[in-house]
Amino acid sequence: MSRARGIALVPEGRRIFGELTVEENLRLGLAARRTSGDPFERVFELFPVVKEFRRRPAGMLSGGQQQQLAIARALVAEPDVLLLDEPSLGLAPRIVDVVFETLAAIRELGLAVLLVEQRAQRTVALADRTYVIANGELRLTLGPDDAADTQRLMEAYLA
Amino acid sequence: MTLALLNIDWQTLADALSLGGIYALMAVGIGLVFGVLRLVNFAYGQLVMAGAYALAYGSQWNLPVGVSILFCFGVVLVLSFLMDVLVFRPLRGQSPAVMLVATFAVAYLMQSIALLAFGSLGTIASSVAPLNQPWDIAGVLIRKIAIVSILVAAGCLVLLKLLLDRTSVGLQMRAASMDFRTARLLGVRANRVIGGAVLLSGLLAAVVAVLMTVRSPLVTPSFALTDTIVVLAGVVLGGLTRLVSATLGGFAIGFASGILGGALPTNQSQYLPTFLFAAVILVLLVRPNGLFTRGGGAVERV
Repeated sequence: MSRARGIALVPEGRRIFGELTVEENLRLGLAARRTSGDPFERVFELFPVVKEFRRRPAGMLSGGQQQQLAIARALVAEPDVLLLDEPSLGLAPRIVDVVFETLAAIRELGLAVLLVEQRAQRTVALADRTYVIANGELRLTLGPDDAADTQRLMEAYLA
Repeated sequence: MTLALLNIDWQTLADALSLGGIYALMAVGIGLVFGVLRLVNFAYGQLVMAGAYALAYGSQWNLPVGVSILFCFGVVLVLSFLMDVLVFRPLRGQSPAVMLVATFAVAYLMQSIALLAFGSLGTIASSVAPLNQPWDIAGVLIRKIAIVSILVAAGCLVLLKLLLDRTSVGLQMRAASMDFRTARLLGVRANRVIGGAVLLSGLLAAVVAVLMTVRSPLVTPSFALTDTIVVLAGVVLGGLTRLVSATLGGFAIGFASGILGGALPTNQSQYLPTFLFAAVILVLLVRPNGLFTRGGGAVERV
């Protein structure tokens, strides 16, 4: 379904195939790929960890490494739009830093990133536009400058 | 020469190994489809039956053995394909119970068609029978088919393993059997992996049909029916969720039936299924997830 449209998803909870190797997980990402060339070069550059452990079963990786693998797996399809569903879920704060740095780097690659996140302040700081949605209703639109405005964030959340 | 312990001779041992091999192939065939569809295909034995009829009619029409075997493969593959397109695909979104009952219906339908078309008395596949002749190996007589079955089964399993490990459709099949939804989200095409698994399982059914028809050339509408039930027990015994454990389960139950069948006095061989199923129940009481599975699920990593 995502195949022809250039959309790739990093699902909630990472959804790594733990019994497959890291490289096999990446190769699954190729199912939706529409271009040719060395598929892994770019993601190995972005995620040295993925390259280093590519022969290991993915289930042996730490949560943060698995999250990087999940993002790498979506990127090898070379999508125009990358969707991420709560990539910081269940990760240690230090690892969350890594994930957000990665997202910033991915944005520099020139693809559109749609991120659903609980970490409001960091997300607002990263994104060009942040939409606060409650019960399916658009409550608020924020820009990067609003990240420091905790008052507005709080109100948006608790309203 | 005998293995003194159970009074088992080499012929029995070779027969048991070959039955184990054949059942292992059937177990893989059932396990492949279960992997991608979460569906136990009860009509699997009827695919084997159809292949056996193809061989029987091949020999009635005096086709060369090779052509008969090709005909058998053709019939089984076409039926597998039809089963996929007409039954599995339309029902894929339905509950497991619906699909289970559907495969029961397909099984009985195919058996009834065979009964109407070919009669209940059976047809003999004589052209493949010469493989039943014994070979004299160092003074021990062993039926050719026993050795051929062991080699063919081993060969098929190795090829299948290579296919699953080395090709992209194999990788996609393995991923789909672990987590179908995520595989689809990554762009894996459902029809491709399911069709692939169904055709592979059909290929294996055709191989099994050839091997079984040599072992017992009288082909009736209930051909391979009992075997399928025993294999299903073996597959559950080994652990249905993994291909390797399902295969081992199939092999184990085939080997055990072969050995028990040889060890039991002829007038008591009717009790063989009783012993087998009692053993299955005992094993499942102790290891409900299967004999050859590792304990515990995946650990969530943080």
